[in-house]
Amino acid sequence: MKKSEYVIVGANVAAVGAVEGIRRYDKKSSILTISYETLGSYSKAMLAGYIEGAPSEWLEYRGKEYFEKMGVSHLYGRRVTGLELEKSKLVLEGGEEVGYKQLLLAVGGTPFKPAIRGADNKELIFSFTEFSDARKIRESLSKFERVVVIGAGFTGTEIAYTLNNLNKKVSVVELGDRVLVKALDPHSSGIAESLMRDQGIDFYLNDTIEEIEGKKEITGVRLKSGKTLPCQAVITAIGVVPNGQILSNTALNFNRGLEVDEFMRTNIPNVYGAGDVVKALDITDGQKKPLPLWPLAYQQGIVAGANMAGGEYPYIGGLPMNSLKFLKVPILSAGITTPPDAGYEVLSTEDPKGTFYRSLVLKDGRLKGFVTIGAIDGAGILTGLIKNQVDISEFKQNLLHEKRIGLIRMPREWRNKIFTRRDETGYHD
Amino acid sequence: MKKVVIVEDFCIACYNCEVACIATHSKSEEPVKAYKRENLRGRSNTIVEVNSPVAFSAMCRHCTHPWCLDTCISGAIQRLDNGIVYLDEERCVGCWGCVLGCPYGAAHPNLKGEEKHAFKCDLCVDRLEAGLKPACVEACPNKALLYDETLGEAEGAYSR
Repeated sequence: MKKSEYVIVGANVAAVGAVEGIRRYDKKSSILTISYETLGSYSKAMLAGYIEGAPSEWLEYRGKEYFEKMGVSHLYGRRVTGLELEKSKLVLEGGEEVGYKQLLLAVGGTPFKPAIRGADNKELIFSFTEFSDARKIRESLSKFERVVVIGAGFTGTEIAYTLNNLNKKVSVVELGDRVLVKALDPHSSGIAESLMRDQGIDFYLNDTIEEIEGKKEITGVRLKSGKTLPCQAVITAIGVVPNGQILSNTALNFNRGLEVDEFMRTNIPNVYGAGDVVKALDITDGQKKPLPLWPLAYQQGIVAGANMAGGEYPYIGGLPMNSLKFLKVPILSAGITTPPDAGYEVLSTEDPKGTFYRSLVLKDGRLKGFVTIGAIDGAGILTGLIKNQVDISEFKQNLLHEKRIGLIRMPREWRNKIFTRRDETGYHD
Repeated sequence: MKKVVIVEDFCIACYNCEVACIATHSKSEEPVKAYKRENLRGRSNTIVEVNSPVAFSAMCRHCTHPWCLDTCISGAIQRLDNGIVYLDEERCVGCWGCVLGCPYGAAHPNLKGEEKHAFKCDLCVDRLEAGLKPACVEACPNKALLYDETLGEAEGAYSR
């Protein structure tokens, strides 16, 4: 039986963070990453670039040399089919076994696929979550001219934008009444939608697909509203849910997400979880929930890795952050952008030309979230203010109106800690 | 780790640090050519902030736990062996994750022209290797920027 001190199931961002975390405390012991994906470790956040023609090596954001340097070996293209947690071992497809002392489950999320009539046996129906999806879409580009994307969230709008760049006629169907509902407030959502409409993308909101039409080849989709959209391909991008595939039928607490404590440890002492598979603490509302976001996965990976290697490194919780990187006008957001109740104060500003918009959401004088469009330099200062819960009552108007957000408006004591002392990122490094 | 310590009481808002930063990171390494021919206006990695009479020049803190690195989807931001948090502009895809993540506003977006990438202070890694101080520190006429151990780390308060 193959053995490794640390075994990581998964090879993407949470796993990369974990390697970093483990090596902070343990420079020597063996680390093994296992992934069913043949490409191994790559950046899922850049898949759109691959569809647009970048080589697959471009996606390997840490590169093979990095893993060599960090002393990490890997099994790529190998699927884990069984967890024998009481014996501290895994079973791979084909029956091979792998033993571990510490295990990290960074198995990610799986795309949520709604049951749609007529979806079976059609070739040009895609998800957009992992490399194999992106490769299928890229290889099929010549086979469709019109495409319908289901879901106007982050991935839905990103793939819509990408295919529109590639001269496809793209329609987006969204059940909700606006685009990017998780990341943006209603007004900025409207701005994002018009930016995409300007590029030629059509949106069908408050609507859903009843049936995918066509015998073998797709001819169109029929919407609940009665409209029919002719198309040759359909992409579902409704979101991902924690991947419970190999976790069910084990002693692990998995309930719409892997349960982990503040050290990213599961209910089994030498088994940890990080990334899209877990329910993570959201610092904006104190709730534990799946938060499939890049920086959170990386940070959880670091925390899990550090604790696996004997550190005492609590997870301070994650702050939802979004950058709509594909749009012509940059849009950044973090935290609560649409207040859930009347207990919040909302400040917003917009220039008449529509090139700048910003909204701040406050509670008790403290920043809880923001959206900024068109002017983004220094936006991270707002992110920092959400995390540190500084009282911003005195300078909130500056934060709202000044296009470049600077440290000059911060209380001097706060600033001086940064300038002359340690970095105050909240981690106990 | 030695970093640029910012002493705001001494800053006279002369902007010499910005000019020196742009020049040292230009091809010509000459301020006027860098501004006029290489179109590097606004590309200083350190930014002078003024709310008279308060002023200071602020740049990357090369954090022990860099949030810009956590948010980087392309691998452009990496920590070098000497502790410097380095952004490789060639590899940057302009996702603005670092701009959103850095609590000091020290990762900046280059939104001009076709080149969409972020930029930030590299602590003048090439100059350090040549035994020199960071360009902004050398250019500062009033010791408002010092190349030194940061206080907390010098005290050993948070080192592990």
